[in-house]
Amino acid sequence: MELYDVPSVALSNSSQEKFVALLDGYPDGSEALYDDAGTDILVLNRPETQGKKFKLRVMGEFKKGLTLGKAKPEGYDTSEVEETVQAIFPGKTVSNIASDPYCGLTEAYVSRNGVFVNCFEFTIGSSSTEILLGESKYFYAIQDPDDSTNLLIKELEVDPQSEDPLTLPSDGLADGFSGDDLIEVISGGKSGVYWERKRAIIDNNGSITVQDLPDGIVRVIGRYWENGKAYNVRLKASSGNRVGELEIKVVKPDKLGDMYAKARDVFDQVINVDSLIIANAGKYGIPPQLLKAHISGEVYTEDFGAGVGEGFTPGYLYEPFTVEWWLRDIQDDYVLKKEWEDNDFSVSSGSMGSGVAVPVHLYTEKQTYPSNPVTIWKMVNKYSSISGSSPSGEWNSYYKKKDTSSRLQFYYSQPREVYEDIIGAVREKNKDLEVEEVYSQANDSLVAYLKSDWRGGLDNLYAQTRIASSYGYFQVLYTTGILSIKSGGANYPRTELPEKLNEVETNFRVAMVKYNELLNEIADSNWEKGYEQVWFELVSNWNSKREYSSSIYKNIKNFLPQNP
Amino acid sequence: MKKQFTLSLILSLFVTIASYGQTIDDIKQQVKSELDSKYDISFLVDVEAFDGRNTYAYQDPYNTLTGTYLVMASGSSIKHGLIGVYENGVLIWNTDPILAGSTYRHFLGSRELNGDGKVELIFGWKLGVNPRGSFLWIVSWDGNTGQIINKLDERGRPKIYAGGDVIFYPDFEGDGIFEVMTYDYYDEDEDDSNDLYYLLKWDGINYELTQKVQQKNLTLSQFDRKGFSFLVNADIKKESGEFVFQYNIFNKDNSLKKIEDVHIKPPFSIFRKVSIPKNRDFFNSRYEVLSLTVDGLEKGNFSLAPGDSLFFSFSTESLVGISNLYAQSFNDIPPAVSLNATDEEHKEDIQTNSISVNTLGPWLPDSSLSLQDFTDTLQTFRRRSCEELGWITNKGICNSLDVKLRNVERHLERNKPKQAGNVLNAFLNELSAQRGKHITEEGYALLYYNAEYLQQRIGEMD
Repeated sequence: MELYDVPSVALSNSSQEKFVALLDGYPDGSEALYDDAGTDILVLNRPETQGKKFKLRVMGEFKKGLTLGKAKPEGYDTSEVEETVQAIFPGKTVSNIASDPYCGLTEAYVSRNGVFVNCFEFTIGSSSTEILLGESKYFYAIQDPDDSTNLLIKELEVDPQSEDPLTLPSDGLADGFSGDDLIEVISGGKSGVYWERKRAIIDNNGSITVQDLPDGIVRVIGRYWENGKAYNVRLKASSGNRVGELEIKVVKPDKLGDMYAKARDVFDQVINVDSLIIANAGKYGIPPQLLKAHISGEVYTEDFGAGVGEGFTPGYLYEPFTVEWWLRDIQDDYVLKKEWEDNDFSVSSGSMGSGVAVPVHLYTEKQTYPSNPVTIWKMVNKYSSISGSSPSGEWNSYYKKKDTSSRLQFYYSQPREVYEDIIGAVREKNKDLEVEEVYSQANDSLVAYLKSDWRGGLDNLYAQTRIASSYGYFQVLYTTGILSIKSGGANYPRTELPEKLNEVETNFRVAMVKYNELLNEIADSNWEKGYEQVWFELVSNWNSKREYSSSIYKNIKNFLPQNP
Repeated sequence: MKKQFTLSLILSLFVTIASYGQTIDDIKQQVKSELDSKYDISFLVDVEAFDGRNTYAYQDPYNTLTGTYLVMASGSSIKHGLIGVYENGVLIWNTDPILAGSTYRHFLGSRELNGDGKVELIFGWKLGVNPRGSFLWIVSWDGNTGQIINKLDERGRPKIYAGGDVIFYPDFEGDGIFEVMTYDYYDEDEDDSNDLYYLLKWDGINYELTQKVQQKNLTLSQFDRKGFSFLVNADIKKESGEFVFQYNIFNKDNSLKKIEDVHIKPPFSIFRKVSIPKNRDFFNSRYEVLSLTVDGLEKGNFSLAPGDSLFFSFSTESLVGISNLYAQSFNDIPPAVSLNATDEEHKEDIQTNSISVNTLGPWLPDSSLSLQDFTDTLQTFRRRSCEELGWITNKGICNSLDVKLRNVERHLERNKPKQAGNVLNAFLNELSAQRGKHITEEGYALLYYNAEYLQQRIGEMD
């Protein structure tokens, strides 16, 4: 430990300004402590001082009214001292050394000269750091060559995409993070960070490879952030009789990737999507980049013009091949089950439901709300294409002609099975047909079959376009939303408009309930698999479609938290 | 109109009044009460009303489901689920321990899967915010109690997942033990061949995931289509100058499988007056056979069950020849497997993954065939009828017919059509005399109508 004397003359002027200055010569705005001669003695961000522990001795004449360093029986009243010194090292941990009241001087010397003396211990650089919400940082500890009791905690640069084993630090590696008591909560009421001894590499297909970190390295992830609340923790290292500490503060990212930061909502209001995601992610401890990737996987985008740019659109999708049939009674000609018939928003031949009418919402994609009753077939036909072109102004939602042939491509498996059966029959019965003609005939047959025969004919049943639909950025099914939480729902009020799920705040509220519930279900037994694996599994439980999680995770790198 | 309304009202009342005078809601309340109100009864299935119109067939092979209601419930205060069976006013069985929770619950069908004398009930548990498929519970039910026979993952969920609720129950080995095959497709690209099928096999205790198979690696030959024995009777009549081919196919009582497809080779493209059972189609297939197949999607339901027979017929102007008839049993094969197969693979499958017999079929001889050559062919028909097909059962008659045909041939070689015709008449007479005695209908039709044709050709020489 090095001892630096601050000249008493400085303090005699009762001015601390001489002890600290922002040196213009340091482009990163480093703070420096320099002596009267103007010689730098410490530069906070200078590499050779990083992690080093220093002792600062402040000595000066007692002057009337000066309370700095006032001696007290139990040690020093450092309240004002700290305030003063904190002004020198804002945000840094500075501790008063009670065991050395005269800072290496004798009491006689201090008394004889009528001065006060205080000494302060502080560590430069690694004593405090910030981490963005959702960001991962890797830390290791090394032995302090100047202090046999100290471990210096340093950050390790890690390429998140590389599957190569980590390059271990060249300045030594102490096994400082072997215990389980690595994090001490300073503020926020709970740990603002998650830590583990694993790292995850997410490849371009969205697959996750989890690696154990080498001994002595720990990964810390910013997990909680809330406006007006400080989530600060202390990362603690220990090895033998050495200890080290690092204060970590979780801070808000400025943005999540470089796209889709803003959008317009269903009422044409501009919304800051990144801020909304960050606020929800920070509150519920969810990686914000995951939420944004999740949204990106669920809904489309469009260019909202100047000041907004490309952004997410409110998603609406009627589900004729899944949810529609869950509402119906297979035992009774597929009539609506009574519980759904009684729903305020069930569609019948002459009504869109007894509840509030379908609202006017702007920008909805993938479909627009039908405002009048339509049959299932009308919806399927409107949002499908066997000709190769999308419906005018709409998107193919159920099936479409492939780019490479007349064969249809399906987004739902049940009609696809029907279609493949039809192709097989057409092909077998028509020995001379070319394959394209087989597809063409099969396409026509499929249309006729779905419309008039399948499950009584889709053109004979009115589509439950309000109930059997998914809404909003996370594409929450109304039928799931209104279930109780313990049944896997979100307690969305049954009297509330289904379409309200397309309002951003509502949708996030429901989605966060579900995230929370899904996390509760899986986290206990899965944290040990790794942080990303927990979230990966959570997303797979959101929608059990094959490779759903991968499809979300492959985009996650596009939405990483950033500060300029 | 009024009559229709009244009828529907009566039907409606009938459906509403369940057993013991209870309505469905009554039963729900009672079951809820029996479960100490710990569960909400989310789905109650009146088994007898379940008519299997969905893709997933309902079967009750041991009549152990008659009068029962299947109960699916979710915990009212806990995140768990329950399956139960209600009968005669009592919840006679429910799962214990309780099952993992779910968002939606569905009954997907019942069938005998593993040949243990109990029916298997298949339930779908949907999880998540936007679930598309189901995790499957398979319950073995003996009429009194049930047992879950699917393996669970570490979180207590079934290991079996069916994307889009598409499930197949094929029998790979043809041993009467059905596999469970679920489908998990990927809609992000146009290449269907990457779609995955999960194959679960019965290990004697549970259904266990044994393989994940890419669609492109599934082949027709993997799906056994034998497992039955059958009889074919062909009866040929001549009406208005055309031959009417009538077939009666009987799937024997001891068969394990239903017969789905019947193919006759060689094919013949010109036929009329087709008479086939409802839900069947008859056509000249691209796989070089005449095919009688089940029309539509419910192939399992309309295939020929053991103990049943089917009749079909058609007429042609052609002659009668010896054909191979290939029969293939129903196996729940994903349609994509058939689509992936080449024409050659289909042809091979018909011939090797089937049970074949010889029967009669249309035959159109080459018009340039000489009378001697035609007589040779007739002689071949006779020989095969005697030595190979069992259509002529008396050796002396075989010899007698042989001698006559050789004489016909000798007379034709010597350009003596009249004598040839006389001998051929004797041949025809002998066939008529022995018909139904030592000569079967097949043997008679094969030889008689071809001899008749030869006689006609000989007559044209005069």
